[in-house]
Amino acid sequence: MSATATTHDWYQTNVPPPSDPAADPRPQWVRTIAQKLEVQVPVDMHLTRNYDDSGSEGSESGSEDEDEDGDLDLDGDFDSFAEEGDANGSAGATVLDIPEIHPHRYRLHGLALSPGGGVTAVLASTHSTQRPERGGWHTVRSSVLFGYKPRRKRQPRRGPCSGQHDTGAPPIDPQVMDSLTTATPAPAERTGQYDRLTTEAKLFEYLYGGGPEVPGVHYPSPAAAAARAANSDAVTGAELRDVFGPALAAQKCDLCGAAMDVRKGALSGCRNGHFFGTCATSGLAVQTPGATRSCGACGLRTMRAEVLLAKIPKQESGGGDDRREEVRRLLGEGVCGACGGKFLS
Amino acid sequence: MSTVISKPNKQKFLPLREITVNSRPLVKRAIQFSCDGDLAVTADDSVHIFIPEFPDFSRRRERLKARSTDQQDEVGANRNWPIDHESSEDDDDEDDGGPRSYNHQATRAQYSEGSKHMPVSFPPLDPRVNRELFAAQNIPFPYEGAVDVEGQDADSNDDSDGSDDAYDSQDEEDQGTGLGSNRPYGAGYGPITGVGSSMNHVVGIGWSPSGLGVNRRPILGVLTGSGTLAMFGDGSESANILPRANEGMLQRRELNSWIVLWGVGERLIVPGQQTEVSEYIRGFAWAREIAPGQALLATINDLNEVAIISVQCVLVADEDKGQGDSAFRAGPRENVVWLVREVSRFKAEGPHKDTNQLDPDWVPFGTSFGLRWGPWLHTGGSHTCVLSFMDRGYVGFRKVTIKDTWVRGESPSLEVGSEDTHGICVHLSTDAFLEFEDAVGRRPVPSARCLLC
Repeated sequence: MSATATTHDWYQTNVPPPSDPAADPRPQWVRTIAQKLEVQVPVDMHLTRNYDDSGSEGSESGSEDEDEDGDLDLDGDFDSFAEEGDANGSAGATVLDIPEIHPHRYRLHGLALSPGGGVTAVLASTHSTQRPERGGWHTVRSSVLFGYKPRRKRQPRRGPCSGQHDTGAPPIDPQVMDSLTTATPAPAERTGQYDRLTTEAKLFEYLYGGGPEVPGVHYPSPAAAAARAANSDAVTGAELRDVFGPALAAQKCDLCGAAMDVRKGALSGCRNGHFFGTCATSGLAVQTPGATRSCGACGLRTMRAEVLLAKIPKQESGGGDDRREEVRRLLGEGVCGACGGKFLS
Repeated sequence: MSTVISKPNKQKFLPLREITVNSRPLVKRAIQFSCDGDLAVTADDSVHIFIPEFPDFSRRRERLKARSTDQQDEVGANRNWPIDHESSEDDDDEDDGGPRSYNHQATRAQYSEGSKHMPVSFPPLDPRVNRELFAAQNIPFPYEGAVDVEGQDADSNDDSDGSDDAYDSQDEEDQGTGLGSNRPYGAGYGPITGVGSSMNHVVGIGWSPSGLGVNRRPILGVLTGSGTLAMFGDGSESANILPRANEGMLQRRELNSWIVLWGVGERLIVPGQQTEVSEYIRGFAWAREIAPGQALLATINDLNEVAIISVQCVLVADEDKGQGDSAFRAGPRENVVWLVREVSRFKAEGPHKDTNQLDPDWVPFGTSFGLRWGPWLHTGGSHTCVLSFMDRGYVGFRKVTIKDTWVRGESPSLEVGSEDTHGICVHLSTDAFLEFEDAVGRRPVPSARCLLC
């Protein structure tokens, strides 16, 4: 699809306009392209100066010598324009009659919507309206342009650890949600749409799509993992933590043997001052190098599944192999215990 | 406190700015977001991948956590946190970074680092990329003869083991210099593509649903002009992150470990497919997310045969791992095994016969974007959706059901309708497309909406 200066309706949308009539409803990339399309230059300036950066020839005289076909035609046009100007114009006012042209047009190669629907990305390339394109693969360029929403203002929350995102406001971009409402009118399904996003997508949506803050990433939320697991299974993330309760109470410092009962920020340590990082899923101290995986969305570390399984107390596993299997499956799913994000390694 | 609010908000986050790439695609729909905000952009013969970089909120989390423990009782009395309180905290956070981090961030934008420009056209995919798929299911690899000569010139292979497919016989006749056995030949039954390959430009890209690949990351399918579909994604290597994060940012993924995982198409057969059949893949589509590590892939070839391929990624514990769990081990303990199998194939035909091209009424038709999966409808233990396809002047919808719970590592019990549940006769131009809305309307009957263009 092409966007040119003469096609005024090249951007069309069925997204309802925003409530604020003063705001420009068009995404940023539409505005950028529209601005470039509106550029007008006098035709003689365009022809002599190589106004568009796609041309590689230097001055007019040089190009006359080198390329006969292209520039001769263009010069012919220019001469005819000039003659026309002389014929029509009154005495000496030929400058006014030089027509102005739009030197740019755009071709749009694709439009993508972010997983949460708040960000649009378009792949576009700019072309000259006046001369055929020369060059090959080494000269072509295209641009990825974005349309994004401002970040939400910080909203007052009911306690930092509540783990509930506000359900009053639509979680996804309201414009997109409005267009979805005809198909899924139930508010429960609206939030369902948002909850199905990955943590990374929610974070991306917060950063650029006007989405809400992400539990587990913006504020500590033990319920995040639970919410992640709840749609698939009975054993929730909170229960998962309970499994490690006995191990948490009984863990000893590997260096001195003292009980690990001191918490200092993200660290847990013993009373002799040996501090270790804390596993986000179990709350245990990470006392073995190379035993953790770090999350790409919140940065916290979680111990590897097999290490965690070994830490489950034996009496707990004796309670039922099913439960152990369940825990193994949950752990093996490989998401961060704090935010449900994906691991980097 | 009001001065704090009026203070200009420093840009802590990377802005989204225009990205210029040194390429231009030859096809439409050349850009796609993954489920995690990764961006794939096609060029003519390559694909750009952009990986987002996320800010680090750990200090803010710690502050909130500390406050919640300190002021546990106050939370009950003062339910609403004042806005200015929070913003002051955040400004403190940003001020801690100092001017250095601010200047550093000012020159950067999202996606400005960590992109990868992957050539996908040349060299053409070696059939041996699929060898592990066969090994994982204990099926003999049909191109074993080509594998034996690994390391030496594949053209000297004398086919002593009796692999009589076209791949090897052509291989002996045309000896491309430096190309070996991988020279792109025609595939399928098209008048041109059947006998020779194009420059192998990128035709389409498609991110898999979330949770399929290593670390539950999506993988990227790239369909090229020679009719082969290659899957790119993280290999099982673990060293794919930055050694050190940028200031105020989390560690970002690196795409160093991205490899071709496997492929589908001519000479890139997957288990369950026939070696004797020539196949030129014209379009493909990923089903929407089913479960972690499980996905369905549909391909359509130039004979309008739709193949449904079950794709699974399972982690198999490393056999030679140490017994003691407290031992110092840094490497990955699990091997990634891809279980890929064609589970169903049907002819996707409309009622309109293809007329002679010399007929004055003949209009060109052909699209790579007609094959799409609808949203899944969960009823009991089964998943149901519709798969759309396009033939000349016809859009068909076929019902696909996963009957029982799909246990990871096993083949799905897939049921594909024997005829179309719905069909529309409509004029379709070249590059016609269809997109489903990702929602199932439940009233009055389960229904999905799609856009046809």
